[in-house]
Amino acid sequence: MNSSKPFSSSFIAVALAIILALLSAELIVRVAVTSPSIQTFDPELGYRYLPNSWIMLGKEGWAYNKTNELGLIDQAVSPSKQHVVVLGDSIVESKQVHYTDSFAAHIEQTLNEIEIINGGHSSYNPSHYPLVLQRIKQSSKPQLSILFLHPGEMIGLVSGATQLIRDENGTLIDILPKVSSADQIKKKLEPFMQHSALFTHLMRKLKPIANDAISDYRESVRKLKYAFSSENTALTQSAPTLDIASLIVSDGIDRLALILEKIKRESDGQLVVVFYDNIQFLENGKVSLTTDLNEGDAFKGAAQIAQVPVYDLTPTLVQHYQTTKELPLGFHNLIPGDGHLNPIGHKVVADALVPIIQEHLLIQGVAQK
Amino acid sequence: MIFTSIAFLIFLSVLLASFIIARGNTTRTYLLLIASYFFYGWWDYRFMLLLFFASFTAWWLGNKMVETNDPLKKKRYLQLSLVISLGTLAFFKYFNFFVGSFYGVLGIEKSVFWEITLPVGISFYIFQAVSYSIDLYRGNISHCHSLTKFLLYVSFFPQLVAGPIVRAVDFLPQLDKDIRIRKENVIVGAQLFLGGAIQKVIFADTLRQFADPIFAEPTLYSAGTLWLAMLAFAGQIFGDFAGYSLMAIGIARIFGFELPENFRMPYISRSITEFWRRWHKSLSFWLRDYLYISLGGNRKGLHRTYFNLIATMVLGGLWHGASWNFVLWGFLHGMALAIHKLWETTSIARTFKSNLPTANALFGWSLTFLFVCLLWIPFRAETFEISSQFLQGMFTFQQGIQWYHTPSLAIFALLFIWHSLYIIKAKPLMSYPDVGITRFHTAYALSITTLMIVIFAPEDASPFVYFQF
Repeated sequence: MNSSKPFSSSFIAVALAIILALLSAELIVRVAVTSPSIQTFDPELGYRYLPNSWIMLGKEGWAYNKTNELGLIDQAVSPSKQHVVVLGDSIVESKQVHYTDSFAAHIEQTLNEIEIINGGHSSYNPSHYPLVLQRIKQSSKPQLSILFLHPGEMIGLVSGATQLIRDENGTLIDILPKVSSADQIKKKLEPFMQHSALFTHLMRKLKPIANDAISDYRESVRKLKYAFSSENTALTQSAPTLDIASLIVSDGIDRLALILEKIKRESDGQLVVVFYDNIQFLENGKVSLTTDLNEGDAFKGAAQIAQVPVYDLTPTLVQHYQTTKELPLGFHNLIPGDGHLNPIGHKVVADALVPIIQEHLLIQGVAQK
Repeated sequence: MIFTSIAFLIFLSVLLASFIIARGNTTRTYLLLIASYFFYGWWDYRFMLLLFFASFTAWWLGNKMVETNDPLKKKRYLQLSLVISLGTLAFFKYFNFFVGSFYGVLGIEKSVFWEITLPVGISFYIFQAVSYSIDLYRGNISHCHSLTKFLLYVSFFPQLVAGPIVRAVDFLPQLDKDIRIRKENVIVGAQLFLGGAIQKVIFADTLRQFADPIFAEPTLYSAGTLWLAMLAFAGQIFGDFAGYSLMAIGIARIFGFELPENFRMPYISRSITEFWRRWHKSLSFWLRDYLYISLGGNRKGLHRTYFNLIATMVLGGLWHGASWNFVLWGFLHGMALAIHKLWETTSIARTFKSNLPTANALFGWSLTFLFVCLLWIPFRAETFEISSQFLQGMFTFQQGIQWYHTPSLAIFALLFIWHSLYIIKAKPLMSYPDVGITRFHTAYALSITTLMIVIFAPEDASPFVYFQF
């Protein structure tokens, strides 16, 4: 009896201390790092944001935002205004930037009869965008759709992150998002992630480590399969590495064109593509374009096939840096010149998009600030 | 195998389990020796041979030194031991540098000569072997009869690759005591280890994210950003090295060994002399005892004292790495030490010190801190050109990108609070906050520290800066 009492009291003290430490860590993460996840599983899209939820991200910038009734990082859709929908991933979502600093807010301030519907969602690839547009159209009728592309989008299209739908002749007829095994895992972890910022943060930290381990494993299996395949008699010969640049040219352009045609149909022909290329802002103090993957050319090529007007914002962003020395990408929390558009970049993009929107909506006499 | 890696945690867990199971001092000594060689061989198995060679020759020539009664022979054995130890260090560490510099003068391509791989931590363990030989010669210690114990003294894995530089007189007697895992040592050791991990993983690695890109291209950034980057590197190198030392001390403590303190809040120093009594203490005192005193110390007049100080610091700079930047860094520190010594002899200094002690302390701290931080620039910069670009940008109010890395600013604030608390409470660096009062406090402190490390550790963890030395 006497010996078990100190043990049980020690055990309780240690357990309480650990619980208190976890609660303290939860509080610290919520203040300084991130809010609990607001993602929820979606059988079509993989996952989407919960409607009317707060999100805080502190990795690059430090921004607090709220999703609207559609689960978009945007304000409530106003029926009295003309709507322009912008589709894209985290850049369009204005990740790491407060809503008031986003390009959407700047455009709405300049063209006050227009409401921008921010259809951006972090980590989506072009195969998601037609579905996002379909859902937005259930509650509003956008007069114009803008597809905002940037480097990295084509990789999602050619690297197996999509479902390719083919007819009986093998012709590609549709491209849909692929619900990955990671999404299925997320679905199971949703209750924890939606209630704990600490858990969410730890999962995000573990993800790249797990991804690296999985891709290492897959690469090893691929090499083994190649080594033992009948096509290869030399066992020591290594498997060829995937050439993303060639895949973009051979497959990516046609796939993106197919998606553009799909969005164009959904937009009643009112679609424009805008993009910026891979800009290296700080290489030897100068700006350079990293064109290894030729994504800018691929965007243009796809838009040409789909007969959609295309605008390159790269010169605008570069010119802004050269004249002001203000970097449009990157944040104080991370490396400047790299990463998402920062508040300066959003303003530059907004200024570039205003005339494009005016041109396509043929708005006359709208006051510009 | 760095202390913050998964591989090391596995290594440590297996070693701890084996250590608990093993019975008797001899078995545990062998176990630690095998583990230490495995730890070192993890980098490159060939390095184990070098480590053994350096240890064995020091021990064997020590034997010879003790066996003879002839003072001249004794001296010859010491000289031979020093030539072998320091020759090995010079060959591996400075061959590329001197041959490269020589070829550079002749205008020959660098690729012509043989590239020597620098074995990790060679400067640390060679210095330990040298200290044993000199102490034995001077009669400060008795001879270590057991080769196993001596090999473990030189190779003890917590301090093998980046110090603290341990003296035989402090370490060897600990092997004669009862070596075992004790609960109180585990708790204190874990606290020290986690305290060091906080300094390395949170402080140093965060500040590195800010300092690295700016030291790569200083011409791109504004003067304000350059000044902040200088402070960031000052914090980084302190967090990195003091953190590593504390982790090493903590791990040794878990196994029941006491290692010497290596850092004592160096940035609160009020003079450059005080700084060197607080920064990398095990090296400073090594240089003082085995180099400065051997050169004559302050026994041969003022001029010779100044010369000895400068020469010691130049060699100390060169110890850090084979580069002219380190030579310059050491020379300027030596000059500062000499000037401070000269200043202390003047009547103005004495008057100032006695009549205005607070102003004197504040002025001394500001000057020392600024000087030390400015000299971190050539220490960190890859080349002379980058150093001069950095300094030029700072002092000409250079225009450019303004980057104020928010996490680094938060770390500056934490470091400032920590140092201020230290000044108020005057507690040594090694006394991790008094958490060992109750089980609840201990468990809470260990849990929250571990969680903070996991939460705030940057995704791209880096090796320790001092591994390269």
